[in-house]
Amino acid sequence: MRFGRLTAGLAAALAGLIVAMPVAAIPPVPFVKDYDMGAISGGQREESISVDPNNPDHVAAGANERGIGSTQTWYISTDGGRTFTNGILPNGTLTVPGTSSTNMSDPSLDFGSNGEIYYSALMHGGTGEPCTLFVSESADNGSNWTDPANGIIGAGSSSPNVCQDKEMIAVDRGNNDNVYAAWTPQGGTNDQLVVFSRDLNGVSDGFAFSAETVLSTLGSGVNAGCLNQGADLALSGNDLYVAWTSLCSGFGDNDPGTVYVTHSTNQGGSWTAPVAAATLNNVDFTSLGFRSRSFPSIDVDPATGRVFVVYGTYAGSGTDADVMIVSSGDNGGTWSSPTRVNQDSGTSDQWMPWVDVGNNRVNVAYYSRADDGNINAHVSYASVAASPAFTELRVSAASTPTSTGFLGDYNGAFVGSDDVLHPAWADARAGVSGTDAFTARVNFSPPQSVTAAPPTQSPEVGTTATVTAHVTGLNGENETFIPVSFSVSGVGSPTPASGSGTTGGAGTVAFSFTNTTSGTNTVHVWADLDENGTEDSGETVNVTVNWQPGPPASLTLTPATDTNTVDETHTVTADVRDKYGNPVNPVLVRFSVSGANGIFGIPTSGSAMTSGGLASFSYVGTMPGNDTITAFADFNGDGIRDPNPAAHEPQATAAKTWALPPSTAGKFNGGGKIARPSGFATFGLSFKGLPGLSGNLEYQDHSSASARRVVNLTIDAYVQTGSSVKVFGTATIDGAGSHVFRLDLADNGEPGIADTFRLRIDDGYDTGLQTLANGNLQAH
Amino acid sequence: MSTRWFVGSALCAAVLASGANGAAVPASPRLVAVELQPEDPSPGGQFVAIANRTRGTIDLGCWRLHSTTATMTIRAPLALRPGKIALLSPDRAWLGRVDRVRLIDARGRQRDATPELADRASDDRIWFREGSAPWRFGRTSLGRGVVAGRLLQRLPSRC
Repeated sequence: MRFGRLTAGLAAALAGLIVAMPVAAIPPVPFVKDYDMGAISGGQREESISVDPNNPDHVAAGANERGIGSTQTWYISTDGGRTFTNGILPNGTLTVPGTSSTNMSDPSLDFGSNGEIYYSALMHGGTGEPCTLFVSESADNGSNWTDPANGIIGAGSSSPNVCQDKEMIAVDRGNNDNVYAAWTPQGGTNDQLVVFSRDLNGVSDGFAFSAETVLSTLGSGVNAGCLNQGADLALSGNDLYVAWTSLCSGFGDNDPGTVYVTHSTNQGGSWTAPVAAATLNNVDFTSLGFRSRSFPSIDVDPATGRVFVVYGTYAGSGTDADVMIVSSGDNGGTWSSPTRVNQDSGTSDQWMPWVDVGNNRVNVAYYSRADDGNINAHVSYASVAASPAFTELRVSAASTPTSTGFLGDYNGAFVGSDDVLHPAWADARAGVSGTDAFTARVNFSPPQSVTAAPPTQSPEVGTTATVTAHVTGLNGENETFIPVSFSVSGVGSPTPASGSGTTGGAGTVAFSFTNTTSGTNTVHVWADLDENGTEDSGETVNVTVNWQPGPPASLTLTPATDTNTVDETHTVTADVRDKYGNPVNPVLVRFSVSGANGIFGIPTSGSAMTSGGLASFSYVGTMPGNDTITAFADFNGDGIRDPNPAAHEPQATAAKTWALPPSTAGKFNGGGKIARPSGFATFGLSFKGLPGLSGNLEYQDHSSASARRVVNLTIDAYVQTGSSVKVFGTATIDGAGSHVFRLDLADNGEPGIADTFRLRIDDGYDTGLQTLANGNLQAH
Repeated sequence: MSTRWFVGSALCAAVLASGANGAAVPASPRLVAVELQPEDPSPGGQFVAIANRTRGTIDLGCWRLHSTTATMTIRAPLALRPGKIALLSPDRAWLGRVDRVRLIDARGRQRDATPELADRASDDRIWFREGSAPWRFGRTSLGRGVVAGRLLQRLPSRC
């Protein structure tokens, strides 16, 4: 089996949790939740249920339907028994001799190897009229059924009057889907005996059931006068068993009976003599308003081959119906002493049991009145043992009143490979019309945790973020069909802001959303592990989505225009955004200055990384006039702006005006010689500040590389600070033009050799700050 | 079995009450419930219930029940104490969808009879009567502790 077992200690610790319907956040083990297989008017009762061995989410059940057409209602689930489709089993062209009625009773279901559903029932008229036993098959989950007329297991007749009654079937998936059936004819040669028939190869070659083989031969001959009824089959490998109850002294309440079991190892070709597995006192509640029977239920542990039989009887005082179990470790040759399945030690009744063994566990479903005097479905489970030690739990969330009436002759139960037991019973709780067929998921490896991945992610805005929730069970297996909700909080407008789904085959469900706003979203993931529709602790997990801005799409410079006085510092800020307006971080922004200070700006270019989408550049304009500041996002960092929009290198400019500083009073004159890279230059100058600016400059560069003669035209600003002065004006170069010049002079004492001189001209000429080689500058 | 279940049985309570009220005690057991058409055709689906409202124990063994078409014999012995109900199930179907039942004692005297009853629905509704009320069709409980009896097709040799 694919799942491990609970330790005894853990099971004991959990036992206290399972009396009431669970409400805890993390489902207890086992976790129980019941479901109405179909809210149908009238009555649906006497259930048979089976689980596809290849797909534990594929569940099929059937029940007597009373109130619509008195036929059969099939129920099929593909989500593990949570929801069901249902329909009426068609009678096709089947007719029963001696009656025009199409009533149907006694459902029995099993799965074929490929998910086909085999459904047997009997079609009959009124009491005392013939009944024909048939099997129908659906390969498409109930959309279509084979004609019951082509699947007759045992035909009823009117002369003699024979009613083929109370059958069960088993499909031998290990042997070409042979179909085995055991039942009790009422009337005819085999009146009230248990008989067997088989169809080889299932539906694949059409149904052709063999002649009846009598199983209920007791000792040397037919047990005439006894009612042998309630045949049930169990199959494991090539071991095929049939169990039934023989009532030889009436079948009223408390009448004595014997459970017999016979065994075949050749696909029902021959059988052992029946062995008495247990004796009982018939539990018949007809006097209480509904009929019950001490029909046995049999199953085999596929791991050990141990055979288990359960039945109802008055085991104690004779007035308290209990469910008992016996087992055989030698293929039904000998049987253990009976032990009680239900743990109720009082005088409440338990009856109508069904046993299913799987995953090393014996599961028994039955009715009990131990809770509140009304009728509830219970399950007892135990590890496989000769005399299992059971733990009992109630599986119906609400009670069925004792006044309900007939609940059918048997219940059902089947455990799937996912370790979920599916009991089935008739239920008439408040709100149910008549009786409905109910089931439950008794999950021995229930969902225990939810994770979500990735825990953090950083997608680009405008793209899609996907969060995947993963629900796992007690044994680490993937849990399917668990409702999961996602809700998003945080920045922007996440779209969609919420979503939901159920986990798929991998135990996962994904949620995707987008956002055009950068920043953080928190995705709250709620997996409704206990499927109660309420968010409980332990059912949630949060993950983070850090939306990253997209590539730069726009760049703006602030201020776009400005005016400063020369020698001040000007700062311009670039704001870089993606196409959704999110600040882009980090991106390198390159700045450059052109115009008046394209040469003499300090500096004339620079770069900075954005922070908060912003990057700043500061420079000092030393020359009056107009600058243009250009900035672009150097997205690829190559230092060159690519104008292609796809390159994501937006650019912007700002206009900058550098104004002359206010003039001061003062006088300054002098002359001298300074060094030039390839020679020297001489100058003579005389300036006068406010009021009334005036002055003269004559400068002669004698070097071979940059020879020129500069003579001022105007004096536009004179700023004297102590013994230093800045002079701005215009001048001719070699007698031509009108060029902005700037002089920076400092009288650093006498005799003048420490005085400094600097001349800058708008064509880029710059002496640099020079100490006089000779001469003198004099501030006044 | 709980007390509630027992006390809640309408027919049984009615049977006991008629004796306790000091009303005229009938000299004969009465037919109090008949199931003509049970949910499925299994044996035991049909049944007849007889209440002993007399002051003495009555052995119903070898008494007979006649339907329109068949006669069944109550397997002996079946001692029914005062206030008790015998629930009699047949070996096989013997009542029609529309039928009437007559109760004949071991000496061949008719002791009670139903009117013609019709039950065309294969469900768990039955015909029953409480005290002196007329026959009704519906669901009821006979109560726990009724005596189970069996109806035989063939007349047993001891009868």
